[in-house]
Amino acid sequence: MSASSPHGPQPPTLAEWVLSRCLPGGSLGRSVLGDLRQDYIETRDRRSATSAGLWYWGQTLAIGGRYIFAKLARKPRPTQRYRTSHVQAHSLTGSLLQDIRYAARSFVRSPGFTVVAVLTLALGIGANTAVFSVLNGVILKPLRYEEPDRLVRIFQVHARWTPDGGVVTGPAYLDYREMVEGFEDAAAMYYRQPGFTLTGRGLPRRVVTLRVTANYFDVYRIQPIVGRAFLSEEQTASARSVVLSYRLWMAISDGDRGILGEQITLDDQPFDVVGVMPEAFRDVVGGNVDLWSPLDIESVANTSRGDHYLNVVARLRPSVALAETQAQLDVVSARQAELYPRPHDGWTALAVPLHSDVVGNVGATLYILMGAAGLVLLIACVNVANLFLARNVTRERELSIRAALGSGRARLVQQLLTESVGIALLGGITGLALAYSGVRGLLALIPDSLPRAAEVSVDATLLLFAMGVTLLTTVLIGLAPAWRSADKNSGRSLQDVTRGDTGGVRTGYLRNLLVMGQVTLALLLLIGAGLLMKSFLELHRVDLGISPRHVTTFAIHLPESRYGEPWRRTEFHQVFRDRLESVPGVEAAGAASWLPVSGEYHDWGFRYVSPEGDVEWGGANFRIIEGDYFDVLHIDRLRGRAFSPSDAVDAAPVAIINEETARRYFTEGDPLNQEIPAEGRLRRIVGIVRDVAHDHRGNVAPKVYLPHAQLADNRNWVLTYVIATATPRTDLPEIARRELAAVDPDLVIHDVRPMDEVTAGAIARERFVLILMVVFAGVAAALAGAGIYGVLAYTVGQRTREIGIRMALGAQKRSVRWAVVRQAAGPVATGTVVGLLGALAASRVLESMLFQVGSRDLVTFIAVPTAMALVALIAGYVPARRASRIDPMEALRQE
Amino acid sequence: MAKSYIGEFEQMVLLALLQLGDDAYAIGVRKELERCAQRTVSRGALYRTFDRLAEKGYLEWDFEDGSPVPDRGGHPMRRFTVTADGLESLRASRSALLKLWEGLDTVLEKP
Repeated sequence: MSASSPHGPQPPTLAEWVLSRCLPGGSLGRSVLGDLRQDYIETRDRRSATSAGLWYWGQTLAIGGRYIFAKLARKPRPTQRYRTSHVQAHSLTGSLLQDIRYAARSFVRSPGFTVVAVLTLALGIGANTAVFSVLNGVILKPLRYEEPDRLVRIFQVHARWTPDGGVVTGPAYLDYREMVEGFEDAAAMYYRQPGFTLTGRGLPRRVVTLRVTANYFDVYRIQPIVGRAFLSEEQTASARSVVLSYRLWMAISDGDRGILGEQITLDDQPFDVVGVMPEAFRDVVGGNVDLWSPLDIESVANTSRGDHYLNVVARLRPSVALAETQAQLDVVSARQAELYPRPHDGWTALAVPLHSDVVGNVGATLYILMGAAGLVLLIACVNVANLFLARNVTRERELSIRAALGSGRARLVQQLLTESVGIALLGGITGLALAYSGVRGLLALIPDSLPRAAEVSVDATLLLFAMGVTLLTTVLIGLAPAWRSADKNSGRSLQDVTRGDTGGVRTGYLRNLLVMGQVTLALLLLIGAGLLMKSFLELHRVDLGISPRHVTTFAIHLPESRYGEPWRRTEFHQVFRDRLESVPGVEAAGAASWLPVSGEYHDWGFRYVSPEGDVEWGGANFRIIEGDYFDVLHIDRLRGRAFSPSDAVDAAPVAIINEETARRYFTEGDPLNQEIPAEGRLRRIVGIVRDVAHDHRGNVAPKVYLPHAQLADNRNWVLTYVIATATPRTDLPEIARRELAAVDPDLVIHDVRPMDEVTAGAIARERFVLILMVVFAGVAAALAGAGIYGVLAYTVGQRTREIGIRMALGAQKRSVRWAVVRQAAGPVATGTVVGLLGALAASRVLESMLFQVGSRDLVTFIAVPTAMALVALIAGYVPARRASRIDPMEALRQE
Repeated sequence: MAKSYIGEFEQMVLLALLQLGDDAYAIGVRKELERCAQRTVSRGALYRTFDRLAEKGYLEWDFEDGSPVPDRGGHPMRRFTVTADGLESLRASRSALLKLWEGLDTVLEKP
């Protein structure tokens, strides 16, 4: 929006041009432009180029507006006005100014028309601009790295296990990095962010950590603003170097460069701060992390070829095509399968452009919403065009006089277009204001799962978009009525138009077409919203197998330094849980390695004997639990028992399975008291519990629960606590912190969330789409209703005399009402049929978003048109009633 | 001419111009006003006030070559002078205000 030139930064060219048009000519105007330019540069130095650009636009509107209004407020001299505008040859700008004044006065004269038209357009433009801001931030903007098109994400694919592509093994990553010539470089990062507890700088806090290879920052082409990136010799298990995020740097040292070379304490270990990343750096794959630490490259090389745990991002060499790289990856995969047939059997590698990987399936959703917003704008335009059309008919007399006095057709079109530009401009400005607040609302609604949500903002691109939409709107609302009015030959006599009439057959036809169009478009949106609503209700009805009411969750991580021995971790959890359970109001407390409705995890599976007697591997999710986990979430125990304190480390190994495990792997015989091999030992099944969904659609998988005490030696589990209280308790996290401090003051609880937020978070995207669609459909229905009302009310007004005569001649009130309603019935019925056919064809795009509702759901396809017809009926009935109340004498006297 | 009404903001603008003396340019006036009156001054309002004061004959301006100031992009600078009528109007307003203030010190003194 602003560009640098040899003379240094310049204000937005377009804004400066607009302002120069508004200001007085000559040195006076130029001196103001000079002042503003000086102020612009000052603002730019103080803030940013974007905000200075916006500031300049604001000033353009404010100062330009004042000068325009001052010009308009000057009393026109009638003789001169008529001379310039109608008879004499004149300059285009002269007549344009005349038209602007004229339009401004006509807006003031009919404030009702102006307000309705402007608000209607503002709704349409605002909705589009707001949705566009999300689309732009998430999809259209290139990723914020240097030459982002050359970045690709590498997956390992197995037709059975990870058909869509999964994380990569250490040795495979090194193979790709060495052998794929198309890569300039390839970086790897650990597949999740384990985190550390940071102590010694204020209160202990949890920091999200990402372990990366030393070339990670080079691949993204972003260097630390302070200090340096990792050295390749730092990629060892004993390395104690970290690079901080800007956010963490600010939080712990307030941006002090002295932090370089200082040590910070993470999980009780000292680490050297070697660098700080710029504020703008966001890792779209690794996520929002607080600090980076080096991966141990030796362990990367030495891990098993079956252990998938790395995210890989590569930068292609300049002018190397993706297909070329993919072919090289295929060669490497084939070679791997040759050398290591067992772990590489069936595995291939896949390169995906980083941008499309990040955006994923969100694109379709956002384009659908954008389409819906576009429909709303179309309906708004149709409505305003209709208003103009009606208004122009009443102005026909004026137009005819002007034509008779010698105004050319072009001149009249120019006049009418000026008015539509004026309305569109006002609508655009109001719409932008609506969008500005709308984007804030949207940001609050946007689910965390939406990638790049942080990049959604109100910016210059948005302003340009709104201007473009406004321009389009102008053409849509202005051209048809202008053409229509100017098209009439001026021979249409003055006499004709002095009498009230409905503006001729063709105008009536055009108006009906517009009503029909509105009904069609509104129906499309309403059906879309109806389908999504039904699907959303179905999602709410899904039985997740748990009761999330009054349950608070949070995670605790125990640092290796003080909790290295398994028994210390077991003891900690027992002590802490006892303390929690003794808090008044707490009903039960437990913990698990992974929460329900949060996806599949720890899908280790186990070997079982199939009915045919073969030993087979069966997929199953493992959950390590502690305390009264089942009681807290009301997961019903169907048979057997729950874990008890006696299931200790030295007792017989036990397991609890869910129904799905019993159903799938124990088709013959009672699973209770049978043994399953899990994590290196045979474990006796002591209980069977109800299924719990792992996603919001109610999908369940086989699940095996193991007691933490017996698994504490397996690894240092990060357990997520679940605490049930009798009543909603917002103070519970605070109490938990206090209790934790009493056990170990250097520990922190993190990821605090009520359980119902966990389950609601799973359907956040569906909710986001639904809310927008319902708002759009509501606005569309209201606008269509208003359109029908407007047309009928207008024709009733025009036909007052005719209706009066009819009633004087004995017409019944009811037949008058019916005559008016019937006028709308045709276009509404046609619009409904066209809309239904359109919806049948278009609703398929929603299919991927629907749950247990067909895209041609009969109920929706009947209920929605009925509702639409009801809206049309109400919109039509009001003017019809008014028509039937016309006093014949009054109407005739109008003559 | 000096009889026409002069508003508070107009007075402040004229006074700021006089304070600035030889440096009475638009940007300086705005900053001076913001400094003394402790409020933001909209540029649009300020420019329109210049126009109004000129219409009343209270101020005049000359254009100066703006090219020595690099940030102006070669646009001219406007330097203002308060006219004799402007001074007269300020004097009249000042003496009227002083009369009105007389004897009110006890009422308006800060507690």
